[in-house]
Amino acid sequence: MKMPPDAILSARDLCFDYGNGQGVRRVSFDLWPGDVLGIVGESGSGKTTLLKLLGGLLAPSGGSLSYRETSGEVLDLLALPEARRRHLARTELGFVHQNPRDGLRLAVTAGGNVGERLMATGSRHYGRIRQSALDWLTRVEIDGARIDERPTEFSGGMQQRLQIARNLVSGPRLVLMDEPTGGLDVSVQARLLDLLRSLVADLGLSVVIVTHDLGVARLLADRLMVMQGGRVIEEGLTDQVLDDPREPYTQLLVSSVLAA
Amino acid sequence: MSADSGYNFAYLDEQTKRMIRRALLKAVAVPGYQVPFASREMPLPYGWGTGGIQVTAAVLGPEDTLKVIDQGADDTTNAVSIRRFFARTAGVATTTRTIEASVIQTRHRIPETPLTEDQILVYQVPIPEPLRWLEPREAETRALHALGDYGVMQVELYEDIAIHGKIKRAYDYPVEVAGRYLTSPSPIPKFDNPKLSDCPALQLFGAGREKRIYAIPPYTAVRSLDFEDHPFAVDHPGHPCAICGDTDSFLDEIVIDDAGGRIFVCSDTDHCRERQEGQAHENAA
Amino acid sequence: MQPILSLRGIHKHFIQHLRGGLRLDVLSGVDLDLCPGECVVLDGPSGVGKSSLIKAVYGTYRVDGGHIRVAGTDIAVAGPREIMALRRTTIGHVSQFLRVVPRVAALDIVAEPARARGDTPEVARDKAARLLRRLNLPEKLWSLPPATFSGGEQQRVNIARGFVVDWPLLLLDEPTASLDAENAAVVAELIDEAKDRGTAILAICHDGVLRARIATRLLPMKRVEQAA
Repeated sequence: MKMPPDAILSARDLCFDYGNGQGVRRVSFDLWPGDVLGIVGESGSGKTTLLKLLGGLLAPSGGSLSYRETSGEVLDLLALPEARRRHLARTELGFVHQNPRDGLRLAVTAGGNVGERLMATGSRHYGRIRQSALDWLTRVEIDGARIDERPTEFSGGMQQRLQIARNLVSGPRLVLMDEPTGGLDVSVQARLLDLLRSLVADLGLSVVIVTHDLGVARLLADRLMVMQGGRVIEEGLTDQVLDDPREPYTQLLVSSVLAA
Repeated sequence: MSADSGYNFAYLDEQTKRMIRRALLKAVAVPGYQVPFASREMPLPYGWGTGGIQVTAAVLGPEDTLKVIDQGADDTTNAVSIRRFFARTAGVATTTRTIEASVIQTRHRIPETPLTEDQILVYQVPIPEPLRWLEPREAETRALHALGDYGVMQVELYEDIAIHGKIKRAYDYPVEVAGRYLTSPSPIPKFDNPKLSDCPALQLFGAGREKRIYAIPPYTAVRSLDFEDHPFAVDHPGHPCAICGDTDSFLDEIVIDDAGGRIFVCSDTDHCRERQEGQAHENAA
Repeated sequence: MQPILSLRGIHKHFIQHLRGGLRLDVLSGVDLDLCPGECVVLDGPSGVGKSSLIKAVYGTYRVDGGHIRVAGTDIAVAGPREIMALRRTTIGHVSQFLRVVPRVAALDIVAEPARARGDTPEVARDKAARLLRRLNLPEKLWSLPPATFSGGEQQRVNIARGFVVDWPLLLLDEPTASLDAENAAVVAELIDEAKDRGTAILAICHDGVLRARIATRLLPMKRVEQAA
């Protein structure tokens, strides 16, 4: 498959069928280093399914998916041996679930949650693992004194920030986010959005973010893809899609937003 | 003691023993790997050593001398019953002396007396999967083993240090066998973990309910998991056995009256008796 | 002199699907060459497409015909990444309203384009501080997010953000609409200085005094005949 020479991720004709007519139909795109791609659309449009295909949580029924490693080597993600795929998933990739409970170990302390990727990739020095965990908790604005508390004692916003720290500790290059602000109060959302925005900018992350909230998309994404019925029906720069929507569905989506 | 008539040698039929031996051969060939086997119904309940008994039955020959211990003791119900079971069904000699035994079936201890190349140690295992409490899905634990993906166990140890200041786990302390498979040593005290490594005897593990067999072949490296800055260490109660005075053996706490009085004595009854006999001999001389 | 911006035959219409596919033509056959140091002010009453043209040049509106050449790139056909690169390096844009970002201090909002162009945080903040001081934004506001600022204060933050970088091409949409005379004069100074440095400016400006001062020339625009 042809991948642009500087792209980090390239999808071509990705398909997935749930067997009930829903799924993802022939989705193609390229993602570049530092690029933040938003996927918007209503429930059932296939956006979360697409994200799961990208993250290896679902296997597509067709299409191709290529990833360029730091070394420059291009990997066929769909043909990658399981061991390699898992290693990649916990080093260079991140996946932030909408519900932090899906992305955290609830019986494990905050420090253990953040340190897991380090331990999984061979780190065996308790003091250094703990220091990294502490650093990351601070970066996501969680009081270091709470490092030995379990996520169940945290608020929803803190849980989501913990999930983000748990993903970023390994220095990933590509982070996939599924409605990261979905279940949160508006004021908590704003804080998380700002945190995400600055982390993405500071770390130069490539991000694919699924959201049905156009405000979130406007704030975080450089580019947008609008999905409907499993297809990408419109794409472009975020301001192009939101300020000059062309497709009937996109116009409906944009006009349905309540102005604050 | 001669065998009761009406039973095949060592209770199990020959086909079953061959099936178990095939599993054992595979287990020895892949140290630490859990080999599934068709565990049989045994004339005692799960949890009483059905896995260990099947393994013992499969390796026992007429010339063998069998010792059975339960938490180090030869004289508990479980140990006595299993010893009698094989005395009746196989007619093999039994002993309580570690040095005399060629096959030792054990629940939750390794004898204090160093084992030799001529011995087989058979462990009764309740839960063979060291990752079971961390990952309930069997398909996933198998994948984790296949990929050598053991970070989650390290997280478990991290949690101990974070919450208790040290790795608190005192038994069933996870080990890595031959640099590959994460393995449960069955619930032996972590005091016994160092004896697992480089042991001259063949170590076989049988889990009857879970239908798994695994093995540590003689002279195999077994490493207890730890952190560089929190290395594996054995705790010792710090006082001697109240009977034989040994300061190096694993001790059981025994309550001796209704007033909370307690003493610590060797968990390995054979070891304790041998020391007492040695001392009596010295005193007599 | 080589123009930095060259417009040829720009067409733009909207199809409003929610209104039964109503077609709205907003730009038709717009031509313009804009050279470094020039300031062209779009001239015409409300509704002739002045803001639309600015948005088309910035790449926000996708045009239906014509060419928008900026520094060798035709924005009319360029992909998102090319437009993003131009916005980072070449085209500055001061819109009518500041799009506020929660929890980011005014000073950092202003400094952001400079940082994106490679300035260190210190240098970028230094430039931002100088601009905010010139625009008389009280220093006690600099560390606050502008969400709670007055319209005039927000607009000054927005202007400072537009002038923190020496853009080859700067788009101004009513930069002084909510400013008092004193601050409007500062903006005029900023525009003069930018022109002197060689910045080409395309502006919308209804304030006659300011327009007379900054405009090198006017681009007359008139309402597009609606296609049947």
